[in-house]
Amino acid sequence: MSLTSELRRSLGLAAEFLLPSRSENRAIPSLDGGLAANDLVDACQVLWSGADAEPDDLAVADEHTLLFTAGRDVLGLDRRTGRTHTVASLPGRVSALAPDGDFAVVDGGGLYRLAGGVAERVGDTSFTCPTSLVHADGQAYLTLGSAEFAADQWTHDLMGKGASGSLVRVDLASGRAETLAAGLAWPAGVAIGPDGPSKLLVTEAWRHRVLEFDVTRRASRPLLANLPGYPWRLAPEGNGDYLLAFVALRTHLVDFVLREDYFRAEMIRTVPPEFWISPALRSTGERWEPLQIGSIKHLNQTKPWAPSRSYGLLARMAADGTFLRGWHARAGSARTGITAGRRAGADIVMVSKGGRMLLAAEGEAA
Amino acid sequence: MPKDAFALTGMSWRHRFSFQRSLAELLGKRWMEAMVPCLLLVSVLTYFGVTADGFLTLDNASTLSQNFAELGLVALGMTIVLIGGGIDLSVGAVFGVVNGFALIAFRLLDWPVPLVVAAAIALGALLGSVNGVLIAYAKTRPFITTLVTLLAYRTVAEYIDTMYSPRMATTTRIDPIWDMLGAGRLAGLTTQFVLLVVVALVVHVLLSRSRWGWRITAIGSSRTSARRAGMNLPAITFSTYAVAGALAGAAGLLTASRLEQSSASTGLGMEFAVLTAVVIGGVSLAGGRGTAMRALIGALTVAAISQGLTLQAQPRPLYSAVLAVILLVFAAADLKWGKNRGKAIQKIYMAPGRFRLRASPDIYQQGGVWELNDRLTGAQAIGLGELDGPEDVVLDERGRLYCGDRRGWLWRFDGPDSPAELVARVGGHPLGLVIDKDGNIAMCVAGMGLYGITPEGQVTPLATDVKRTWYRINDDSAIRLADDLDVAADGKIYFSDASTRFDGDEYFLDLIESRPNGRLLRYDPDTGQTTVVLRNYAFPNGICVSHDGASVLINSSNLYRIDRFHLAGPKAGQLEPFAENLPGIPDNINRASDGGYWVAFAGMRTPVWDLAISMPKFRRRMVKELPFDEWLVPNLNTSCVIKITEAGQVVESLWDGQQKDHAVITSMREHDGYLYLGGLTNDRLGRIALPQHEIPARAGSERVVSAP
Repeated sequence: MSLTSELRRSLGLAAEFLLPSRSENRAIPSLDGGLAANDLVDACQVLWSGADAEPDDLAVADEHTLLFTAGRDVLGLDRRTGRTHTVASLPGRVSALAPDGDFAVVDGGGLYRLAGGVAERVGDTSFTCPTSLVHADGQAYLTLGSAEFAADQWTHDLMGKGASGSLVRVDLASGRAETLAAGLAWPAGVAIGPDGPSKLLVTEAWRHRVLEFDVTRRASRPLLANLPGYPWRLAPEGNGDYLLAFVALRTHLVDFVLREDYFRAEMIRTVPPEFWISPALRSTGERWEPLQIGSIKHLNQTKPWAPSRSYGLLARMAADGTFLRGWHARAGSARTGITAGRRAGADIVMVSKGGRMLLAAEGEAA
Repeated sequence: MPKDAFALTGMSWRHRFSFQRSLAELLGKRWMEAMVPCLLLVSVLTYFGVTADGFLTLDNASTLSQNFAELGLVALGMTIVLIGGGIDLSVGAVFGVVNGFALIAFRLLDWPVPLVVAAAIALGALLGSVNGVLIAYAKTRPFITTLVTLLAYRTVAEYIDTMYSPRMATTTRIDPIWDMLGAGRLAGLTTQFVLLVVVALVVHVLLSRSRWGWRITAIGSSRTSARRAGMNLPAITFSTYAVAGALAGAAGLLTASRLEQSSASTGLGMEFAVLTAVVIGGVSLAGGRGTAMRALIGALTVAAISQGLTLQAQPRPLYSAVLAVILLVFAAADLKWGKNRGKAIQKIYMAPGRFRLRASPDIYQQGGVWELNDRLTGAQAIGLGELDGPEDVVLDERGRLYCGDRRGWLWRFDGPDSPAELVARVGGHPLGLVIDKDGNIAMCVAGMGLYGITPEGQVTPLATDVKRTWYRINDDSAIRLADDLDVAADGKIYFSDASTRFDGDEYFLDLIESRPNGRLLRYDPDTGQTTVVLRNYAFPNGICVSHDGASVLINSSNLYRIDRFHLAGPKAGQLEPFAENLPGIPDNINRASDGGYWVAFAGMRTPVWDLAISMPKFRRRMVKELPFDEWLVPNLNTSCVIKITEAGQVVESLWDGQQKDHAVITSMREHDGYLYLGGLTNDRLGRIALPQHEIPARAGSERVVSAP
């Protein structure tokens, strides 16, 4: 701890005391209004669960068929029979799937067209850390979470305070890729905006916000800021609303460690990543997992409000950014780490990556 | 002398001290509030001693003491009124009127001096009583009332001045008592000063020791509460103004005898100087707070400023300006400090320290002794649905189980399948338990100390405090966190007091502070005395007398180690490492039937926790910036029981691999082939059967070798 950093900290405190309105807002908003906590994810029906494979992104082919990524595979699930079949096996970990399942991207690899039962590569560009994918009017839009880490190393990018993500457009006919925006702090999800493909909605996870990106002007404005969690993928529900998944909630401790540069550097250097103070897809109860006072069990119970490394939240958001409803998996739940949610017929289906399952909130489509 | 265990922390001697900790503890002391006025006084005296010629002479000292005495008497009166929740602005005018009256009575009327004295004080009291009647009985506001009487009395003083000054200037009268009052000496000190000391002592005793004084404080603190407590508010309020008037009168009399003259300006602006004086001293303008001594400190400061500026031949308005600035600063500080003192202490009370720890052993090593297993899984639950926090469990000769409860109860079970039976309500959370052959239990009760309890449920305190350490700022005489205990061969009880800074339910705070705040105590049942055996020990938790009775084993929960303290033999009185650098937090330790020891891990060290321990500033900012529930702690949701040999070798660990039933295990007791598990926040006791090979013919947790 050097003298200058101490000095800077003291000056920062003085500035914050004198000019509170100009200082960084450290408060984490509480879950209220449409985001009021509940246990609805735990009440969901399990459509699929895998012991080894981690589902990640989700697509809806038709009312009865869901497609999802799991490792190198894109799997199809027939909801009438409950059976799964492999749609495609790609040469690397598939980390993003188009909403209709027509395209998929391999982490560190290329973009593939899946239509017709065969995987066919589009263009020859390789993408680092693709996190989500949409396509419209012959153009595909891709978010790349980071330029340094693979998609499953998201905690490395977060705890390293990364901001090297980008938004890329790929011309599906020519395969030519073009960067629309760079310097994003882990863009985790992209969706076509309510006014059509000229305006995209992009989540910027580490800055806790949702951006509205104007493709023609290549400019963005925040639609939602200071969210209580890390916004992940988002999908239109078809009636103007969106389903926004949060991979985990922010905690005071993680935000604090993000301000403690020396501690953070030492932690990254000496501690195995799974035991970091960081959000996680699931709480394993491992002996070396960090713990906070509120999470200490009393009478063998985990308090539902306990500050937790992992959380599951899928929220329904109106086009203007108002939250209307949330499906929560709180501390102690096994269905945390919701990475994607979509409407399928009358149901809301979602992926709990932490719980390694596909879930359905039946009859919940608005 | 208790043995010092500080060296175990691996830190150097300078880490024994912490500025922040000392400051927090000092601020908690009531007497610290007088420190700021004292410092101001010293700096004022030093400043004028250096800059004003003749300030440090005997002559000046005696003049200063006279001025101080007159100001001081009025300040005492003002203090009484302020403590009672009022204010008296008319003291200066009363002072002026009595001053003039005393001179008239002495010079012109030729009254005998004792009568002059009595009449002057009586007049002061009378003038004060006018305030008292108006405020106490007519319920007028103190500020406006005394402002009005200030103007009225001031007119009287001016009238006296115009009518009688010329005549007084032409008369003289010599009287020994009068001279004694004005210019005399008693034991080398000026009379005025001696009188002030006497009056101040009386006022001090009255305010701090008498029913009248307490009632004044009560009224000043809260009128409503005082009225509801049945106090006669008008009578007491009236008396404060009468006394203030009498004291102002006495001061006026002293000035008359000293200066032998009266002028229209006598006592002009005195209320301002007196108010400044008492506020500097820390008498609260809001009422209910102040002492006689602190009023005098303020009065002396003001008198010294006045005297110093006079010597420097500074213009008089400067004096008023200086007083105004000081009054403003102190009145503002009084308000802020009174409101925020508690908060300020709370913010800095915990002063995180550092321990030098080695890296934790790798508990994930394949085939290692720490490998996860299911040996505690499926333990039989005892008392499920009844218990809340059985920290320790103990069994008597007949195999009956006893355990504590967070609600301050002691439970008994006739057998593992019997219903719970309440033995006693103790009042605090019982932690460590031991039991003798007659079924008497000795137990450590969090926040209370060492208690004894008979099989019938009769509770008696055995040890609740020890002798205070003279050099510690915080009073460490109370036993704040008695944790575990064992009985030595000679019948003495050794028990741990885990922290001298934090109470039972605040044990997290001691964990996060990470300073050696604990100690090992010894209770002697023959004399009833408790002595400190080991001090500066980091969170001593489990205590166990060794199988041979010659030493006692102590678990340090903060340093992840177990130490052996020798009671007998060549090493008697020495502390020796027994097991070091454990991967978990050792809680209780008990003898095993095979000659080894069982140790419960209340939780596991985590890599980030170890990192945080090495960074005290990180932890300090954490506790300041984050809410309590968000603080980082070790992993207290995973527990195990380990077996350790007499040589300190860990031979096995028993886990609940599913982590379903025993979130925390703080103790275990072996009895007849079974191991019983207790946990500080659990809802049950657990019972598992031990494999046959671990149980010798005669099995229990008694010492294998009985003591001589």
